[in-house]
Amino acid sequence: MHRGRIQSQGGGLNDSKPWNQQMPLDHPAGIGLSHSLEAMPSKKEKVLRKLAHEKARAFMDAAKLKGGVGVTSKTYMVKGDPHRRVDIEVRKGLAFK
Amino acid sequence: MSEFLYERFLEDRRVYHAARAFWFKQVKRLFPNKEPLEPYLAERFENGELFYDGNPIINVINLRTSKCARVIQESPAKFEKFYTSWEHETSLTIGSAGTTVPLQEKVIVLTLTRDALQKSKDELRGWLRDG
Repeated sequence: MHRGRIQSQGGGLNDSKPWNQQMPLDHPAGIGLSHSLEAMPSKKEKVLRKLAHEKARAFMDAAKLKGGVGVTSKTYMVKGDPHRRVDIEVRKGLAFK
Repeated sequence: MSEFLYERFLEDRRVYHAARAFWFKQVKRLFPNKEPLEPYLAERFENGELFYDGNPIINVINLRTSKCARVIQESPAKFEKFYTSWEHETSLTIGSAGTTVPLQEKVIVLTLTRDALQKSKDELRGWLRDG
């Protein structure tokens, strides 16, 4: 099995887009989950988190070129904010190949 | 002179490797009684290449207490002076057995100054030591 989630945390948000499937989450699916997570909150939160989401997707792009990534956790903070962040958690298996 | 340590770690891979080695040494020195520490997260892509983004710059689980921590080092050019940390419960697959286990994790995000280093070491020592 291959499991994980992408999430927006802090600033009153606790939004999450999980996956749990037989095959590794491929790169287009990861990018799709990221965009759908980014679309969830208010306009203000979208603006604040724009760069954090872009950095998360840049990591997925790099992973695609390098064979994917195994179990890991990535955190992308909103600059200057000690709470708002975007996380990638690959909890089992592979992702973004 | 800059107050930031390993300031160009994201621009120069030699600096990145030096920063990574520095963190390993700092964490090892926290526990003279040799706590059983080992990494619990991938820091490399599947082709073997390091992430080279400081995210995380180091990650360790104490096998005695089952508590884990990761440090994310941000670029001072983008984040200036920055320090935040939190603790939470997560679950990950650890080791080759393929079993997903609940974990208590501390996350520290910083730009690296001497003050930030000392603060992070104090946090890591207390967190990883106590079960």
